[in-house]
Amino acid sequence: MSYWIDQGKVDALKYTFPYLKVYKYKDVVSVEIDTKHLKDFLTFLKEDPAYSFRMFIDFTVVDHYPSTPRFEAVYILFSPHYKQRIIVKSWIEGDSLPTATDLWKGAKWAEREAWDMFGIKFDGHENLVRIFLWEGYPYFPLRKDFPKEGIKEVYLPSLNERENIPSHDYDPYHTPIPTLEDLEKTQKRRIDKKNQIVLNWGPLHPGTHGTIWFMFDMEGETIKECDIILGQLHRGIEKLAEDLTYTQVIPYTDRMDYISAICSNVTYVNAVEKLLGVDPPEKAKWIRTMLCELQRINSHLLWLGTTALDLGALTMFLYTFREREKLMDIIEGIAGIRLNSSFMRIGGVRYDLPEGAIDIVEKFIEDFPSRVRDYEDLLTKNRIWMKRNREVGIVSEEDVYQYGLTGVMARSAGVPYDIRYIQPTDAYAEVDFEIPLGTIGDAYDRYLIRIEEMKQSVKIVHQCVDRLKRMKNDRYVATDNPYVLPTLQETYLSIESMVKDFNLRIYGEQAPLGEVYLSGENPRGELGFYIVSKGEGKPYRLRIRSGAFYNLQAFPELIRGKTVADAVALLGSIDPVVGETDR
Amino acid sequence: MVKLKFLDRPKLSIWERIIFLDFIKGLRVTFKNLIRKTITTKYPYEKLTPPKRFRGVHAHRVKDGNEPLSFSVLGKFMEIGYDESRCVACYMCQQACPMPTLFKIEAVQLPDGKKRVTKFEMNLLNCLYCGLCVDACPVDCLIMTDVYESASYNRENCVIKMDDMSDRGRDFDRRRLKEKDRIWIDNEERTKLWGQIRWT
Amino acid sequence: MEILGTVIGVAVKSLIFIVGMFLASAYLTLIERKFAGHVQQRPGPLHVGFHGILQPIADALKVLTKEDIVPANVDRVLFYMASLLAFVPVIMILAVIPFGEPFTVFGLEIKPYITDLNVGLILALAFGSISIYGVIFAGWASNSKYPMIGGLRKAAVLIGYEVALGFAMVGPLMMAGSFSLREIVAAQDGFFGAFIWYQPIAFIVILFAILAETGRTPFDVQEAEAELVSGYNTEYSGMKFGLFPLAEWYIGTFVLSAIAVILFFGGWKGPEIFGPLSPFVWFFLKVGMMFMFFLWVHWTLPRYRVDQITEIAWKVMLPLSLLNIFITAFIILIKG
Repeated sequence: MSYWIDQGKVDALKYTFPYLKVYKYKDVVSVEIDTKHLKDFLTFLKEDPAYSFRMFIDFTVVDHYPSTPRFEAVYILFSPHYKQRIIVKSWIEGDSLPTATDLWKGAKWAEREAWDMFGIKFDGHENLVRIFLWEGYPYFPLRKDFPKEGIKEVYLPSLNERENIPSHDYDPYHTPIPTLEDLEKTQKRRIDKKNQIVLNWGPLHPGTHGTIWFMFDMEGETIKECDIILGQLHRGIEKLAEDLTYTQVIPYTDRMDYISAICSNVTYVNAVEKLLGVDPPEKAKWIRTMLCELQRINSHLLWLGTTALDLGALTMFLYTFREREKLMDIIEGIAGIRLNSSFMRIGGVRYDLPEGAIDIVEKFIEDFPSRVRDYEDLLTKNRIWMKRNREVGIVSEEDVYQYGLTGVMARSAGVPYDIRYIQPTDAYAEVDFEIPLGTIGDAYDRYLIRIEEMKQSVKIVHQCVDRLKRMKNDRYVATDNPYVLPTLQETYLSIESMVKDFNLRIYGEQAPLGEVYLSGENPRGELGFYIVSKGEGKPYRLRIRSGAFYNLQAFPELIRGKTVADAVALLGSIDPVVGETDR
Repeated sequence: MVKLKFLDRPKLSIWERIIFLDFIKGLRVTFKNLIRKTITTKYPYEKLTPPKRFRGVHAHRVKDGNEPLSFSVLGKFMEIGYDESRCVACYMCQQACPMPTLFKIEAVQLPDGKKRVTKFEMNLLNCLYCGLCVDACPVDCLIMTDVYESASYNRENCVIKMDDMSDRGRDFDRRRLKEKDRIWIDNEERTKLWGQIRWT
Repeated sequence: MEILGTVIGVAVKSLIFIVGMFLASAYLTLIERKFAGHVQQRPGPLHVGFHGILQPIADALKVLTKEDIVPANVDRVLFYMASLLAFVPVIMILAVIPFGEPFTVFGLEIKPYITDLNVGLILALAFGSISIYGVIFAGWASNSKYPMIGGLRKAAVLIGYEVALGFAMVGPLMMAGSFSLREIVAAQDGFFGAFIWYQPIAFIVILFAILAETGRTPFDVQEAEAELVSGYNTEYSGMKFGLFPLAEWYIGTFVLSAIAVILFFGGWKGPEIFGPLSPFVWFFLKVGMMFMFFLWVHWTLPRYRVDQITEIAWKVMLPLSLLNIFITAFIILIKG
């Protein structure tokens, strides 16, 4: 079953819009329309009941330098009613495009990002300012003519004043860095003071869990206006990926959502596998599913601990970290590193499960439910917890579609949007579990959902363990596929494998021409990879659709009229990870 | 099969409210943990043994008779003595690395036509510890060890050189080469957190 | 001559009380850290001395020798005054707290309290109220946004709970018929004479009020670190910073626990199983239990939002304490 728009509907679309071009790669359907009709077409897709692509997933731009027209806009939309996706593309004439923010509020930040990274202007956008970089930054870094290492024009003497210059490759010249005036200008562009005080909440603040910079325009303790400055952790992973082979991107996906690295790995690897047409062996799929679910528990535990800590329940933090430590032990034992595991490989996993792994996972899932009971005793029915979380940040179904909220945010509003359910990858199609849904959509619902998801994850891990016990000696990586790197043992023993290994390492996986969008259910929402391949060994454009980025976008709207104390509760319940919002 | 489930929101009844049952439940949990044993590993006095797969500081395996088959092919052209690093200067680690500039590898041609590696440096400040270089090494030379205390007062010290890599490799092989590929060594420190595990 | 003797006696006693309280509060931090540690399944301070027994001293040395930063834009007078204002009144409450009945050693009569005023309790309340100025001044003088919000929050909380606390204390006072803390203790006879059995509502209100006054967890909005970094003491450093938690979390909690013990648990009364030291042992045991109880609550519960706290103060606690006064008065009337 395909999760993309079906042929019949595409034909009907072509009938209504005769100048439409349709492309298909595997099951990914993309349609191309000229800029003049783009807005009408998007409105039609959204409004027409036969299509009703009401949910905004992603917007991005691809730079086809040096061809003209140069930029291509890409919209990814989802129809909640038909559970179908579509990619709408359009070549940008000149450097401006009509804004889509009046159709989907979620386009606001995505368009700002396109302006920031590609210099595309959007007519009608309410506040088109940079999003990751600061005001006054002269370049558009994701353009193809911008060098990967940046334009080094600022002399930073501090690196050279030292007696021994650090190590072998430090350059005293550096890409521009923002000055204090730049930051002030950035701040002024985002929010103007209309009320009593503007509280800068961040960039380094214990409540923001990372480096996000919130600005609250407050009347007393009530927040009247809010804006967010992102980008303190922006590392340009999308840019870096354009210069790396598909395998080399894997460690970078760890660093996006560092709290659930394995989930990001798996999603990326699945997307690349779809592009290359690699089918991983059954055992690898089950290992992936098991690790993903363990990682989901891990991530939810971190969320529970830090949110409780923010709301004052200090001990909770250590209790969740105790269980998280066990999960870290498991992941360390299987993958080799606790946090940034890089365990997935295209076509499978890096190693087979080590001896004893299953025993330990079993031990963990045996204890864990009683620990969850403890957490629930501490919080669920606690009157303070209820008072702090109820009625905070109520998300409606319409908000979910407008902002492209995914993950727990969407499910708290009762929208059954779970990638594991609508587009199962790996072994998710074969396991039994329940998807918890909220009824009101406030922070308390999100708390209940996350607790329930932990229980469900345990259930999934049980099934994975049962299955993996029966697959002791199966293959864990599909090395017979020409795109898959051979294992070390194979390289040692056969010259063909060695040559294949050399080729893949040096030239990369020569992916066929095409584009692919695949997403996975990260603990933080839908993490999607949109990969454009031009037949080279590295991605031409890798767009990362981050769940946390879109979820966070609803924050200014949800916090209006609440107090600072609610901001903590709300931010906790959105659970963004800055590594993923900034990428 | 995937099922959807709407969660009901628990409520406090009036009695639970008056006798503070919610607080008492919470206090019970904290008290229960108060009388439990502590689980802290008192680093640096006590240390956990990392699993064999642990991806710590890099090392070079030396020529010690355990070389894989591929070494006989690639090592033919190399001037490598016994107990010296197996590196054949194939540059595959650098190719595989997402951050290739961290490697500095140099080899010279000797008069007899054989090659000899003169320099193998890694700037660990730029390292992602992803292990792709280890996967790429065709002669089982470059490995990652269980050494994780790599902090240093000086950036220069974070560049590891071939000699100390060989030393580290020798040391690692001496300690752990024979060990089975096991999730971790079950010692007392682990038991503190985990309790007893039934191994199959 | 007699006056001089009294003055010297009081001065010596005050000195002992203050120094003792300082040391005690230092070790209360250790108790808290150990308690918090074990609640969270970690050992707490461990390496300075046997099981961290010297940790408070090391901490004190550290705090005292730390660089004392005064930010450029602060109101210097208030900034310095604030930490003293938070600290001194709390320790002054000790003046009216009796630790036991007078006793004679070597023919010398020693009173284990500094004064026995007949308005002792009111004085204690008054000093408690003054210490709020410390927090508010700290918030204002820092000339920074987080401290100011923190200070104002604390002011809002305290205004509510001072009232409730005052009214809640009326119940035991009516039963004892005196403001003198010694006489209140004297009025509670035997195990079932303790006022806790007759004044449970007042006790609950006072528990909440003590938590709010000392800024312990369900009510620690003034320094809610996730929202306000560190609240009113964000800009403080060194010993000036150290005095705030010392005053609020340790001395404040300890002293108020002592008052609660005197009001509800019969003070130093208890079976004489520890010989002549029995009253002291009982008193400190009870205060210690009370203190531990506050720690236990602190390390278990999440935190209220500031408007919810004041809401509880005015809508629940105040009516409850008033109701308690009525009931008590009614019963006293009937019983005669």
